[in-house]
Amino acid sequence: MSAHNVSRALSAYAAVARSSLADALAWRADAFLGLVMGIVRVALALLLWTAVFDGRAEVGGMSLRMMASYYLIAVFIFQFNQSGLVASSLAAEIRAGLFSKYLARPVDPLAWFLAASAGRSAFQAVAAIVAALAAALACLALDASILAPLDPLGLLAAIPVVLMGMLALALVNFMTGILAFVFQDISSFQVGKDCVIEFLSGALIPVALLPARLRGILSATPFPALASLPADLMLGRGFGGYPGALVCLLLWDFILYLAARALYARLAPRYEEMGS
Amino acid sequence: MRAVKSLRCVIALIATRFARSASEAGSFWSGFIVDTLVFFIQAAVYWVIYLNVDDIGGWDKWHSIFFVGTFTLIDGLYMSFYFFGLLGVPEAISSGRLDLYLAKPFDPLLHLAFERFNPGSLFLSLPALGLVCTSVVALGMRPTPLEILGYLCAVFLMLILMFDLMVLIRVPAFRFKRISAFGVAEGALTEFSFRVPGSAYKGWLKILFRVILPYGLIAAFPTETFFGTASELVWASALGVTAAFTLFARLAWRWGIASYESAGG
Repeated sequence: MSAHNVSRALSAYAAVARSSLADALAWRADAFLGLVMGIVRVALALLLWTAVFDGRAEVGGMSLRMMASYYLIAVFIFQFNQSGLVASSLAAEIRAGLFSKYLARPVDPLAWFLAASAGRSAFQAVAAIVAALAAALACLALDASILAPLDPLGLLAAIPVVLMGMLALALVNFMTGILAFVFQDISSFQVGKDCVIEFLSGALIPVALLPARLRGILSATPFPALASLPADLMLGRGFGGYPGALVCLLLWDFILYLAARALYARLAPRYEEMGS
Repeated sequence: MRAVKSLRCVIALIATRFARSASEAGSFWSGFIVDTLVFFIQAAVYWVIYLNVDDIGGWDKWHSIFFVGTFTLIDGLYMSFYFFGLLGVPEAISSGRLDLYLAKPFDPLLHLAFERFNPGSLFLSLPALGLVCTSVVALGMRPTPLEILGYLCAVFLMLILMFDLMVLIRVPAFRFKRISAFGVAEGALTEFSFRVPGSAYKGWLKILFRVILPYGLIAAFPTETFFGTASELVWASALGVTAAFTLFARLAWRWGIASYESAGG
């Protein structure tokens, strides 16, 4: 592929990402409600952990202050990735017989999916950061000691981790979406996948509370990069295995990319364009 | 008479869906496997919490396991009967598919709710009942038939309440084209009600999560009924809250139908 062709392809996918971003911007009421609900989610997590702490100074080596800060970061970072929604649309198009448009256009369906996910996730990330800051300010206004301070170095270190983690999740979501070539309804797969990933990422419960052996196994997967690892880094923890975590994420992204390509090559020939 | 007709139609929908599911073995078993997975994840959350604390709000491990079993039982039942149907309501409204249901001589809400009956989720009730029975044995309890009947009635009442809550979350689809944020809120509230034992609610939180947003009742009320801590007042408030939310859900749905423009999109 010549440099000119690469440049043309990149500009085409950038247009897809921009279109997806514009689409997300068009649904302002939904985006606003999404942010409000993100704050509600953090508030509910705090209520739960207040009940669990019930006067205890620490649970699993974390104080209530650290737990509150952890959830504020982890819940919002986990919301960045919107590739699940794009995968649902893709699955609906496959079932309705509308997938043909990707076959007729000079685009690669996986690259299109990643570009559309990037556009939508970019909007969501900006919105989630604004909502997290608003929630943090509200918490600090109520009680200045309720949140732990952020580590600026950890903040920078978290950026590549979040980006590579989101790519891994997008590839998993693509593979889930194209299961629509085989199954009438993939919603149960999506519910199961979301639930498992939420648990493994640490958005549901901090990974630090898990037994040491399980933490070791999880650190070899891309899931903590979606919530737990960036939250720990931003709170000044988890620098110990940082280089190893980056290498591990790179490897996972590569493996999942190959797996997504292989699964698409295997399932796409089953598409009959008939709809259902 | 109308209620009997609706019940017959619901049974017919479930029977049709059951027959269709049996012919789609892949989807049937995928539903079952995924639901079991969700159940294990939820149980794992409690396992992790109890690795780090001895009790939550005065409930020890076995009380909480009974609570998890109860929630999973309710979860399995509502996911079987109406969860996936109600999940499709916003799409039916935004696409104009609701027209088909309005034209039929059957309650459109019940039709939409029960047309996607998912028998795979019913199997989730088995591990849930296993958890409930295990915790009863571990606590050395010998429940009387009346206590078991009270528990089953409480579970049924909470299934009605869950139906109402799901409808109310989706009625805004008549006004807004996209309401995924409401779904996020619903997910957060359901998770919260699952993980916080009823005994942990104090003061205004009790009013908030047992009356205004009664997700806190869903698993806690049947659990309290079984352990004999649900007084007559608790029963009366659970009945009152369910009746009120059933009325709200019906009124909200009628309001939505009245403002429905059948435009599709």
